[in-house]
Amino acid sequence: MSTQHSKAAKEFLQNQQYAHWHDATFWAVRTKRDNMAMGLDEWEQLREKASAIKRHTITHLDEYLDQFATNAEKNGVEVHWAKDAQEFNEIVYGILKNHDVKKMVKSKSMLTEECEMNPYLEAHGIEVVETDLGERIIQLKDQKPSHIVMPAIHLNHDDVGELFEEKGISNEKGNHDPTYLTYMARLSLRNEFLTADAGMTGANFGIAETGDIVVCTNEGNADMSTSCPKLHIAAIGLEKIIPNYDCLAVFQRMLCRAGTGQPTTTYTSHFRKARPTAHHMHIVLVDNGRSEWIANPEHWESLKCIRCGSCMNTCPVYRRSGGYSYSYFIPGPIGINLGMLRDPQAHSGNVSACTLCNSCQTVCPVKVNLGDQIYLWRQQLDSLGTANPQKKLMCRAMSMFYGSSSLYNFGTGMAHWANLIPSPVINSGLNPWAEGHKMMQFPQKPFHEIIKGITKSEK
Amino acid sequence: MGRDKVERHIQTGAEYVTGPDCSCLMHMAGVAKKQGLKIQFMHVVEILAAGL
Repeated sequence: MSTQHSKAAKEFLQNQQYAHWHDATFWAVRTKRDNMAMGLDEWEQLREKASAIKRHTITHLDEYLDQFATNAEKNGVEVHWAKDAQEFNEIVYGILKNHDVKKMVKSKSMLTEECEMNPYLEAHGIEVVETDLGERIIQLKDQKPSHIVMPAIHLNHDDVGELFEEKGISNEKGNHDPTYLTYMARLSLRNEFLTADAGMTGANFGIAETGDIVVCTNEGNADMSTSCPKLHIAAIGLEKIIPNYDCLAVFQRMLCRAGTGQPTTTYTSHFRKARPTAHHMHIVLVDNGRSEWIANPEHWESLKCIRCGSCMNTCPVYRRSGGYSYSYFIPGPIGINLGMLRDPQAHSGNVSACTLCNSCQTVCPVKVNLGDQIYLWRQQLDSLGTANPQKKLMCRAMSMFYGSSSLYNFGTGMAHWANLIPSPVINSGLNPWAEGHKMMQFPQKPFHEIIKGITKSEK
Repeated sequence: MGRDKVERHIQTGAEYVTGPDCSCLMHMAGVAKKQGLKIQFMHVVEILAAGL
């Protein structure tokens, strides 16, 4: 009956101290979000507005994509369209090859993670250097991101200190002070920026009215990645397009407040065209399933997602199991939903990584109905062929038992005999509930018998 | 999650925890008993019925 997630979570929880620290770390970010949200009287209005803008844009996406591409091209930007991950990788490689690129620096892009771009480019002889500090750390450790905004959050400063010593980024053995480590990372990355032939960014938003892409970073690494090398490639998913600057203002107020509990990122940069001394700027618009998902009547609202990370920060399951417990590259509530859209058979296990508490839905800045959708996916498991057979059997047995008053009354009347079952049997592997719980003692008389007796005697 | 929940109940100084949901109470009571913790769980109707 155990899913991949529950097995992975069990291992994660073996180290209780670590699990508590992980949980507390994310709860702290959730608390920061709460402070931000409570500090704005208009927070709920902004959420509704953001949701409405996204609903409108996604349902008219063809018009806005057309407008965006036309305006970007008017700015001298070369616009490419990638129907899937493979095409995206090929397009990017093509551009890099044309410019003889040996090394590319990149700022954070979960889209490139989705398309598995880094291994593709490396297999074709191009060095890719992550410049977001969290991404750089996990790149050096050969790990995947465990969170979409804070990819190395599962590591502490000793882990980073030891890594930097090993990779020659840090000079002082044993100095794991975060400020020192960050300073050494900065020196190392400065060198990468200055010696790279190309810079790639993702995009938090694409503005249809102007053809700008907007990138939000705390580190300024998108700015460095595009200011030093002469070639800039921007990767953006179709659903990231929004109509105009007025709309941007709504999302800009919410993105960081929701995701990191900051009023804004340190840098919010617009990229409209290549600098005069540089080569072209390229934008690659990526579909990779999105246009199909828009047509899904129950799940299209997942495309409103602005990738803030708020849902996973609050999710009690994510906080206690970590990003690596999920089978999809995006974890947490949005990851469960996007994974099911991507490949329902492969990622069905994730839908039970949820208590249906709906905290995710409550915090989502664009009102994606995350919990409701997870509940819907659960109901579809049987038709997908991924429903757990033991759980199905248990549910049928329970329907029969609870559906018949004679069976129910008989069963609850007899239940106290179960108290006599010896504890090695009760606590054996056959009873999954016994793990972590001491079995309850059934009363001699069920409550409804007692109350019947009382009401009878009062008559 | 069950352990964290029970821990927080204990931190309030409560001796009894009550609620309307059997499965919720069973879960927490099972966790508490397994850990040998003193806090007790009663369904709300048990409290009301005690007055009859």
